[in-house]
Amino acid sequence: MENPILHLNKIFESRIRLGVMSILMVNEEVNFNDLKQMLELTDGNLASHLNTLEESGYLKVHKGFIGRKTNTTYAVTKAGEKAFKNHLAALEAMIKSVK
Amino acid sequence: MTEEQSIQALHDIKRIMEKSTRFLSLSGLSGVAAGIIALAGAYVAHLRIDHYRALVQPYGGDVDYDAAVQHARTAGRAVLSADADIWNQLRLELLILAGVIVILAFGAGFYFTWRKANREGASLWDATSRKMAMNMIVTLGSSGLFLLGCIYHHYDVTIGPACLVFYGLALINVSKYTVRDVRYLGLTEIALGLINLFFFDIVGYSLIFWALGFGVCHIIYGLLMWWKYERHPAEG
Repeated sequence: MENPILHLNKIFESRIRLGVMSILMVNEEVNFNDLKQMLELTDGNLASHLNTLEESGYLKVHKGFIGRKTNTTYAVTKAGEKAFKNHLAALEAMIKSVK
Repeated sequence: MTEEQSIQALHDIKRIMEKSTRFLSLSGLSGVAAGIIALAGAYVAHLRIDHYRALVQPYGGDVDYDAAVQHARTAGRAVLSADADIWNQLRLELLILAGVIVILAFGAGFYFTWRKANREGASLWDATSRKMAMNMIVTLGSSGLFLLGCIYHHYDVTIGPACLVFYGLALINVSKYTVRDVRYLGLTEIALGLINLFFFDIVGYSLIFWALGFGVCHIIYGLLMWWKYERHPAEG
C-alpha cells in the first residue's frame, strides 16, 4: 500500500499557513491587516509564515500604499493553488484510507 | 499526522474559507424589523394618498398631475395651479416618508445585526462585511440616483416597480457575501416588481406591491432566517 502521507505538503503543516492559504483560495487579494484579523494573529507571527509561503513560490506579494500607510496585499500563485489542492486531496485520501 | 488531525485540518479550512468570504452575522430579526417599519410606512402613505385624493375630488379626483390637467381641459376650465400643487405636495410628502422609512429600516437592521455579531464575538466591520457593504452601497446608491431621476422627470409609474426590482438585484448581488437565502428574497422582490410594472394604477397598486415586497416578504424572510440560524445560537 502507498504511504498515505506521501503527498502531504510539509509547508501546509502549520495551522497558520493552512489558514492563510484557505483564505487566499477563496479571496482574490487580501491585505495584511485583514489576514491578521481573520486568523487572530500577531504581526510578527503572521509575517514569518507569510515569508515561508512566499519563499516557496505559493504567494504573490504586492506592496502598495494607501496615502502614506503601506498596504501589502497577498494573492495565491498558480503553483500555490496547485500545491494546496494536492495537499487537500492527500488529506482526503488519507482519511478515506483509514476508514 | 493522525486521522483526527487531518479531519480537524479540513474542518478548519472549510470554516476559514466560509468566514473569510461570507458575512454570517446578518440577523433575521433585522428583516422582521425592516418589514414592520415598511408596513407602517406603507399605511401612512396610504392615509396621505387618500387625504390628497379627497382634496383633488373637485378637480376630477385623480392624483396624477397629467390626468388633473386633462380633466381641467375637458371640463373647459383653466388649469388651476392647485392641480399641480396638490400633486407635487403629495410627491414631496411621499419622498420624505420614503427617506424616513429607509433610514429607520437600515437603522433597525444595523442594530439587530450588531447585536448578533456581538453575541457571536464576530467583528461587524471586517474585510467581509466591508466587501458586503461596498456591494450594497454601489447597487443601492446607483438605483437610488436612478429613481431620483425618475421622480425628476415625472416617470412616477415606474418608481414603485423599480424600487422592488433594484432592491431585488441588490440582494442577489449581496447574497454572494452572506447567507445564500438572501438570493431567494431578492428573486421574490424582482418578481413582485415586474408584476407590479404591468398591473398598476397610478399609486394605489404600487403601494400594495410595495407593502408586500418590503413589508410582508421581509417579515416572512426574517422569521425564516431567525428560525433557521438563530433559534439555537450554539449550533451556529
